[in-house]
Parts: sequence; structure tokens; C-alpha cells
Amino acid sequence: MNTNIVQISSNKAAGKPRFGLMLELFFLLCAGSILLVAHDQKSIQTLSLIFTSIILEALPFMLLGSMIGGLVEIFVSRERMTALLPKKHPWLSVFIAAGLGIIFPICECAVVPVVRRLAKKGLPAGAAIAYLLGGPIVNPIVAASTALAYKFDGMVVLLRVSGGYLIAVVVGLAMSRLFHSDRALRADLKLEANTSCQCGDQDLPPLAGFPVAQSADIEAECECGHDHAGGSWLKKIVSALRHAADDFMAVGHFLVIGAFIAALAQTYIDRKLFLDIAGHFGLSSMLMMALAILLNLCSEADAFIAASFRGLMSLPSQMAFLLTGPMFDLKLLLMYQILFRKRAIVALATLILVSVFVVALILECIMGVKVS
Amino acid sequence: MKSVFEIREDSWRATVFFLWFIAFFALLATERYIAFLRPEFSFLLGLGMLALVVFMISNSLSPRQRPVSLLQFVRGCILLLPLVFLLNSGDQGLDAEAFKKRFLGPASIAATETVSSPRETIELAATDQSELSPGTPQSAIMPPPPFEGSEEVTILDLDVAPQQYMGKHVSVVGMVFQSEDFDAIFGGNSLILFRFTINCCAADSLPIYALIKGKDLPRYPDDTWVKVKGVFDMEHVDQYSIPVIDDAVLEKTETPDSPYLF
Repeated sequence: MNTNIVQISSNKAAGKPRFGLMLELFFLLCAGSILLVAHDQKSIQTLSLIFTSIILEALPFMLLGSMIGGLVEIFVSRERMTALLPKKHPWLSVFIAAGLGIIFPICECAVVPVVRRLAKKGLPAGAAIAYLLGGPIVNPIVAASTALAYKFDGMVVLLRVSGGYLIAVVVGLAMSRLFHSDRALRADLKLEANTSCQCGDQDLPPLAGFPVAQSADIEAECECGHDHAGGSWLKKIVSALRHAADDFMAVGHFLVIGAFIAALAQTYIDRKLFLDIAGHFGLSSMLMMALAILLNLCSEADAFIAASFRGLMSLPSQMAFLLTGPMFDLKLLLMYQILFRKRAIVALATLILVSVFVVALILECIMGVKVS
Repeated sequence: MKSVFEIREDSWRATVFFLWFIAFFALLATERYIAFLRPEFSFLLGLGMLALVVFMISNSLSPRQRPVSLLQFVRGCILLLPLVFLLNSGDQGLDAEAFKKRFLGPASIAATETVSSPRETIELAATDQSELSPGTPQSAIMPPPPFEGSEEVTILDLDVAPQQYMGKHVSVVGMVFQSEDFDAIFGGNSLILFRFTINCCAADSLPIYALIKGKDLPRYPDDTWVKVKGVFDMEHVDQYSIPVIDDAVLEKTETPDSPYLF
């Protein structure tokens, strides 16, 4: 059984140039060329500044998230995970996961490696998605920053937190219905336990012919499915950190690519363009959602950007901005590739954007599109 | 996937981690990080350094013998790309071009209820709202207090609590640029004094500004740091309130330690 899984992975990747690799190489060449050709232009210096800023703020969180993921991999067993989940009504796990950010606050950069490891441990896809979406919004830090940005307007904070929770639950339930039996998750997250590999753990013999180096999906990381629970504490810690480093190397480049595109948008898009459609039913919300996707701001800071549109855009459109960013932006879209299959990413993106838009439309019907 | 390099995977990883560690260390040691982040966020870089050290140690304790693949090499290069852009980011911080892209019109960026309430009180003192023609300064309604000397303030102070400084002599530091939009409204003898506020990093920066008016204002190049002394006022254009420093005197000044306000 394990050999069959290994052979399928091997056959899929062997001998074909990977489209993802070509894209990443293309990105590297483009970014490098921009710098080589136009490095002394003021706009490129601004681009460099914003790009570096996003990375300097996000990278430590991603390192931290990877470390948490590594610890989950080693210290949280499948059995323990299964025991924690509600058995009588499995859909309850979605409701619980969407609000877990209150106890375990997490930002959108760190949540992806953490959820990746939890999913590998058997967390159902619906619950994984609910925490992925809800964690970065439904948490006290984001509530506090939103309150500060909006001068302690309780209604805005309540709308954001409750709207985020609602969307996380709805999307989590919808995805668990649309993709039966965890078919949303990538195949390499569901490797059987005890599959041997060349993960560097000297005590476990490698499976002969295991194409770790050939499988493009897993070559950068262990993905061994080993039960590393045995051994000394030091060994476990080292193993956890190795898995953490694997996660960081697997996800980090997506953060860089997303941040670069966001920096391009921030440098070259004039925000005054958005004012022309203020007050148009539905259109202003759509455009604020697009802005949130392009700007790639962290959920702790985006409230201040949204608040800067007060007096210029309606509250429902500001809320669309506040709900979209932590759940779906350019870097998250790229990072989701290590979690989900392509079809699931399309479904997830559609569900998130439609849900946010529906919430914004409902708010526009209640509050009107008048500028607040 | 076959390897195209003679580098081992763990050596390449260690290189990536080490270069980022050096970058974080250099940013903290030279305090250059304040060009990108809020000063309080130095702890983030410290955390990052700690995580990288831990990763390097675990990497050396459990090495992987296999050679690095092209995919891993490319991903490592992508992870190092921000360091190259870091070297290109310059010392100035965000400039007039960034201001123009982020500026949302002549309205005061931090217009708040606490500002509007006192303004309503002042407007009621006028016989009729329609008497407030465009460009009418607030001090025309209430005479300014006697001269008290220039009070050192920031543009953020003027933006958050303008009523506190109305009619007073203030001294403010910021960057200048000449705006065609404002020239069209106020005539050619004006400049924009601006800075940026940030909450977390330069990516979430918001522009704040004041209009500088005075006789024979020196025309410094855009993005020059200046100290401006003058009388603070608020002027109305259509429905917008514009912070103004009138009878302004300008002089070039040193770039402040942090280009941003918080």
C-alpha cells in the first residue's frame, strides 16, 4: 500500500518540467531584472522599501508559525487529535475551529503552516478551513486594533468579528460538503503513517527506491508520516525543528512572491481612483475587496487603512475590506497551494469572496451606501 | 528531481537562514529597521533571529546528505530576494510620490467627531454658514490669541487635535513638495508639508499633511526635510477642512531619526 502511494507520486513528477518551478524561476528573473535595470528610480526605491517592510514584519511570524507547526507534528498524535474532535456531530468541529482564535490568536502568515500540520494529524478539512479563515480575524488582538483604528466604535468591532466568524463557519461547512472525505487537501498531507523515507532520522531505515528526491511535491521536506514520538526529548525537539524548517522553506517563497506583488500595487496604484465609485451600490464593496487582496496587509494593521477611508467610502465597503484581507489576499492565495488541491483553492476563493460580498450587500441594504 | 548543483541541501538551507540572521542582526544593530517598521517591533526581528538560530542548530544536528535540487535552490533564492531589495531601499523613507499615490483628497485624513464638534461651535458663531467662502480661515471668525512663541509640534499633533493649536505659532518638521492641485486652489505661493504615520510597517503608512502659505517661500526640491514656523489655522474648501500654516518661514533641517510618526 505504501509502495503504491510512493510509486504514484514518483510517476506523477518524474521526467516533466514543473510548471510551478518555471513560474518561480520566471518571477525571480523578473524581479531581479527590475532591480538591475531601474534600481535608481524613485518608484523602485519605494517598491523596495514597501516590499522589504512587508517581509520584515511577516517573516518572524511565519518562522513562529512554522515552529508551532513543527511542535504539532511531533507532540500531537493522530489519536490525540481524533480524541479532541466531537464525534457525535462532526460538523461541530467547524463551529469550534472558527472561534479558536480567541484562545490561540494567530496571524494569516503563521496560520498556514500550523493548519498544514494539524490537517496532517487528521483535523477535518472543514475545521481546518474554519480555523484558517477565522483565526486571523476572530481574535483579541485584531479586535483591539480595529477598536483603536475606529475610535472604539463597538459596532465596527462587532461587525468585523461576528462577520469573520460567520464567514469562516459558512465556508468551512460548505467546503466539507463540497469536498467529501478531505478531497480538498493535497495528497501529500495524507501520507500513511509509518512510511519510511530518507528524512534524516537515522534510526528508521529508508524504503528502497523511495523517490523523495524525485517527487517534486515533497522533495523539499520530510513528509514521512513517521511517528517520531519515540526517543529522547532532545531528539523530539530537533525533529520538531527540522519539520518547522521544512515548513518554512515550503511556504516562505509564497510569502515573498505575494509581498512583491502587493508592493507593486501599493507603489503604482493611486488610491484616489477608488473614490470615483464611492456610493455605488455593490461596486464600492467590490473595489474595496480588490484593494484588500492587492495590499496584502496584516490583519492587525489593515483596520487603520480601512479607517482612512472614513468620510470617503461607506461603512459596508470598509467592512468588505476588513473581512477580505485576513482571509484572502495574494500571498494567502499562493500559500494555500501547499494545503489544498487546485480545485479546492478555486472553490475556497469563490466561497470567501461571495460570502464577503453578500455580507457587504446586506450591510449596504441596511445602512445604505451613503458615505459615513 | 535531479540535482544540478554540488551543494548539499542542508548547506543551502543553512546559507539562507544565516543570511537572514545577518540581515536581522544588521538592521537591529544599526537601527536601520526603523525605516521599515515601528520601533517597538524590534522584538519581532529578535524573535526572528532566535528562530533562525534554532533552525540552523537543528539543521546541523540532523543533516541531510542529498544534494539540493533546482526547485529547492530557486525557492531559496526567492527567500533571499528581499535582502537584495533591502540594499536598494535607500535611507529616505517614503517620499512625495508615495504621498501622491496614497493621498485621498484635500480632506483632513484624521477627521474625527472631536474635531468637527468644536468647528460647528465656531461656525455657529458666524452669522450664516454661507458667509464661509472657500479659503476662509477659522481665525477670521475668532481672533487668534496673542503671540506666545513657536510650539514644537508634529504634523500628527495638528492632525489629531487641530483645535488645540488654532491660531497659535507652531514649529513643525516634515518633507515638502509642490502640488499642482493645491496651487490651483490656493495660488502658487504654497507648499505641502507632509509625513507618514505607520501602525506596523511602511506598507500600512498613511499620509498626513499641512498646507504651507507665506510670502516668498523658498522652493526646495521635493522631499527636502524642512522646519516650518508659522500660525496654524484650518481652512475650508467645499466640504473639506485643510490644515494650514500661514505666514510660514521655512528652513532646511536634518532628517529626523525616524521618518515616520506613530
